Amino acid sequence: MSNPFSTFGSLSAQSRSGEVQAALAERAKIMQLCDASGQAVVTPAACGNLPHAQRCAIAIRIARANGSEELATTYATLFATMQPTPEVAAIADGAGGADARGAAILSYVDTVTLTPAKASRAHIDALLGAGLTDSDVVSLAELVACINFQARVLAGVRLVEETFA
Amino acid sequence: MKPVTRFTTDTLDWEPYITPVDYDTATPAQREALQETPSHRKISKYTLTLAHDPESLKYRSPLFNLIMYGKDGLPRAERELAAVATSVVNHCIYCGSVHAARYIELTRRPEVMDTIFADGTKAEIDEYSQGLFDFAVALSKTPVAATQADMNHVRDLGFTALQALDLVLASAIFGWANRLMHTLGQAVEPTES
Repeated sequence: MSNPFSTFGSLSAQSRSGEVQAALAERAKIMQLCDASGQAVVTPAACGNLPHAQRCAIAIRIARANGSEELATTYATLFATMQPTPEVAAIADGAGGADARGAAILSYVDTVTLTPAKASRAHIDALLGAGLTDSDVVSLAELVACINFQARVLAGVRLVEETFA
Repeated sequence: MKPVTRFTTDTLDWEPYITPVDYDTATPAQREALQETPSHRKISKYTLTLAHDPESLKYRSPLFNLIMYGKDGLPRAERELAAVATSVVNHCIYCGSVHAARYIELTRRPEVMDTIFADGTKAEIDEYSQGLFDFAVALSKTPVAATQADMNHVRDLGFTALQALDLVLASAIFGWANRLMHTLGQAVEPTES
């Protein structure tokens, strides 16, 4: 199994273009931090009320919403090792929340991924009202934001590779 | 506090919807993550809010600084332009104001930011800036809408692979920053301090 948290660090070595390989090598520290931050949001040591499997399912959902099958597959490989319940697996597949808390979480995930401009205080209040702590809310926001970031870095690197091949 | 809902190059404040971490009662992990921020003297409300999740903050702060201020590659002003393009797509008023001001400081071209703030993602600017702006806008949409043609155009404008990579990174990191700043709080008119 490929380590999902070495995706970005391994891009340079995999590159078919000398110029792109050199560019990625010059930004090696950034690529390492892309991987480290992914690990920090998907499988943090302190996960609060958001277990790793739920975070990983959300990561897959966001990668797919962005059209990044490559990133989705990376997290799906990790997800398969987590023995998720059917309810959690349904999150990855785009289902709605199983209960009020799940609905508040997925409403935030989908709004902030698809149309961040439409996010409002009501989304945060709904999360707090559903029993999430301040730490959970920030942690969820970082998860959503980080995976959206990763999807764009990966899509962008693929375009750079094709263009500067 | 009066919320600000239109893009401006004026200096704004940011108010979180949740209570920031109090530095005096912060945990060791939170303090460690806060060391990664540029200034220890005056830590912003934004950073103290993010300290609720020290594990990600510890990596995000250096990542942001390397992408925006790292040496070589794309000039600093052009990274700022990418940041503004993304902030317009995501409607992050606060990020837009901060990075528009930095762009103007570096280029002395306020008219570029005036046009972008007036016309949004449809703004028409000089050809070089336009290629960069349009790529950042397309990369910021969900699903990602940037195409090979967009990137070919960027190359044809004279970008090297490293500069093109830096453009991707600057836009993408604002896809992250905007999703924190515009969702965990809001831009407000500054109060006298």
